[in-house]
Amino acid sequence: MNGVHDLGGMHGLGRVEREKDEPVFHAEWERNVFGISYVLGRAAGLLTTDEGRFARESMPPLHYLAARYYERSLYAMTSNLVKKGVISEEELDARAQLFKSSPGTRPPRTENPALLEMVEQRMLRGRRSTERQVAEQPRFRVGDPVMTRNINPRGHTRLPRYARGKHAVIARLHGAFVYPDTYAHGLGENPQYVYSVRFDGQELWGDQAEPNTVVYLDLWESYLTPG
Amino acid sequence: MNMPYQGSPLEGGEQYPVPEADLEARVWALESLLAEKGLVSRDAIDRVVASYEQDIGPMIGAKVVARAWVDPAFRRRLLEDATRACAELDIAGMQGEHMVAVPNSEGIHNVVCCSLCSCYPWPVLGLPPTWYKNPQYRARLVADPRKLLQEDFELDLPNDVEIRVWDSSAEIRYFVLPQRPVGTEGLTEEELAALVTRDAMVGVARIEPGAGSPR
Amino acid sequence: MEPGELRSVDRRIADVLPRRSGELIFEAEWEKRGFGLGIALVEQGLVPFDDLRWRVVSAISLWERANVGQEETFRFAERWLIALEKLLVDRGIVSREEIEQKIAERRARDG
Repeated sequence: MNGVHDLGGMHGLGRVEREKDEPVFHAEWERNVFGISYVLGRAAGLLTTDEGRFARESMPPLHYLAARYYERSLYAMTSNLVKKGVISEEELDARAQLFKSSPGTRPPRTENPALLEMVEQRMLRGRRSTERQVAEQPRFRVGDPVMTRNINPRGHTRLPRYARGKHAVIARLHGAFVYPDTYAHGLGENPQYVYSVRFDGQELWGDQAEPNTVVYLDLWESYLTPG
Repeated sequence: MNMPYQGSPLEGGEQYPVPEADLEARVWALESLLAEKGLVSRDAIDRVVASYEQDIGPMIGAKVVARAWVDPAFRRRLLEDATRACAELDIAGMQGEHMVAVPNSEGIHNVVCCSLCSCYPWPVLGLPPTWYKNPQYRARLVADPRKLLQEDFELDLPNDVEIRVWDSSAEIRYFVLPQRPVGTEGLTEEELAALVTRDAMVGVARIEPGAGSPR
Repeated sequence: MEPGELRSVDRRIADVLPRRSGELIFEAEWEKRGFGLGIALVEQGLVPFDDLRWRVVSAISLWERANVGQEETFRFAERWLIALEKLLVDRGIVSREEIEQKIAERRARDG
């Protein structure tokens, strides 16, 4: 979707500010958001990465821009859990009220050996790839000139606005991967070849752009037409 | 299909930022509801958090870089297939299923971002810093990298150096293989690894004394 | 060891050397000796300055990573000495055993 998350090339957002020796997490709640989303992320296919991204993209724009990073994670996670009927907005609000009305309390400690084992084995060590084998041959080869499509889907896509309708060159073939534009909406994996595609900076941003600058994007085959 | 937000997007700005106390309560609520359903547990959450706070971080990527500097055959394998090469060193995991190492050279400087969200090579660099995930970096790096690096990262790259911006729009995760600094011929692999910073592997810094940018 | 001799020292190292009113200060005799020894080895061509420089940078970096939040306990002279010692051992100028031996002898002598 053409949401506020699609930030490439946007002006007026200010300087990059960096915190010296920034900790991995700034607060307990951030730790928990990360930990919960990580554990849930592959639990019985409950939440896929693509669904999570689209949920983030669907945040009200003001909230998206004002939010801390883990707030966006929290929003995406809860909206997907509610959508899938795992929890309801009402019970979450009610439970949150309980905790808010007695600050300092936290949930009782829970232990689940099976879950812990899964975390240890599959997630911290294992591979969970979205690469697939497909029967078709790749449409493009390294060196082929291509042009990106001018698509503007209301749903999820990974072709940023700044790179639509632009001339580029195939730099590398990565392999075939689950197609997020359908997968994020439960419409199937539909794997396609993904290419590393090289764009000249001035093709993207015009003659006045910085010289000698190149942008590489990883793009699914259906984002591309022969150049 | 999930449609985007239907209310007026410009209303309600005064409610942001959300107070931390509200966020904390909501997250406790989420944990307790999900734990009751057996979907999460505190021990699993703790284990994940501990791994990413203590074990998984840029020191891992630094080892990979140092190995590539001292072992030309490993460097070739790393550039050919970084996932497989890292696996030789027992380095693997989530968000690193498909990694690519992009080498700097005299005429080429690489820098990585994710303009659409926050994709980052976790197994070699750990979790990304806030600035990498925030709108300013994501908006500006793909458009004015030379200016951004100079203004906000004290990294001056002359116009004759090609800047390659890798916008991680799919599941491939990129990290930079910086050049080995001149004058380090006598250093051990461990000493070399200590020179390699997170910022150099993202591409917002180089490795030389006086380069100025923090880790 | 004159402060002027520091002109050849890398800027980043020079930045962390402790000073008062622009003059180098050493808190202990060993610091002065350790620093002077390193510079002397470089000036006599026994070790390349770059090698020493990078080792010091590396030693500082390792210390910083292991001591986040305790920056006030940083002692440059310690890092310098550690880097110098490792360089001497790596280059075969002295051995680890010789160093340990000398330390033991010195301790015995000093009681």
